[in-house]
Amino acid sequence: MSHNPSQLLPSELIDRCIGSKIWVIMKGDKELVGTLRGFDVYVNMVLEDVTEYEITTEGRRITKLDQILLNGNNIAILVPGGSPDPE
Amino acid sequence: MCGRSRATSQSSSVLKTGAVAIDRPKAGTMENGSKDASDPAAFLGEITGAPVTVKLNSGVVYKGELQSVDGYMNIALEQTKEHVNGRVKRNYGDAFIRGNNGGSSLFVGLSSVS
Repeated sequence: MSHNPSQLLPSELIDRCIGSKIWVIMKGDKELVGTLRGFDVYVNMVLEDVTEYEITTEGRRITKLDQILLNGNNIAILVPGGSPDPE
Repeated sequence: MCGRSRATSQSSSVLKTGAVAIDRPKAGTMENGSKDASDPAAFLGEITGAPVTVKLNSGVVYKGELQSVDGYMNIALEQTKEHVNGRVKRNYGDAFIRGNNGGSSLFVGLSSVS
């Protein structure tokens, strides 16, 4: 049975982001930007060339990472192509 | 088991990885610029045996050699170093990290996190 083609499922939206930049906003004060390589049913994600932003009391801490597996449990929002920097 | 190259994991197809593979809606969706799609299960197969960094939600970091990971994301590490606030707190020969510790991310490559 096929669904209405005008309706885009959330998983299809994420699937379209594979290979491109994605902005991941976590529950709590953490955000990541990286190239999406893949994801599973839990929306655990494999990301490459990642910049991790941790908002602490002393300001924003930035960490660069080559390749990560991100646990989907704490993901709040996914923004295709987005970035926490306005530029 | 760590000898699986990126090329072979690509050709064996992401859907072969079993329980956590997603049902991809369209066959052509992977062609939007991605050279090697790898879902989490395939990625874990690739990095088993490699030095990794495991960061929990609490901020505590464990660095060691990845022995195995299961479906709960329980993680077994060898020659583990526990880092708290950037300092080595303890060493463990073998460490088991329970999956629901809010293990936020698993990083490959020891040098990437201070």
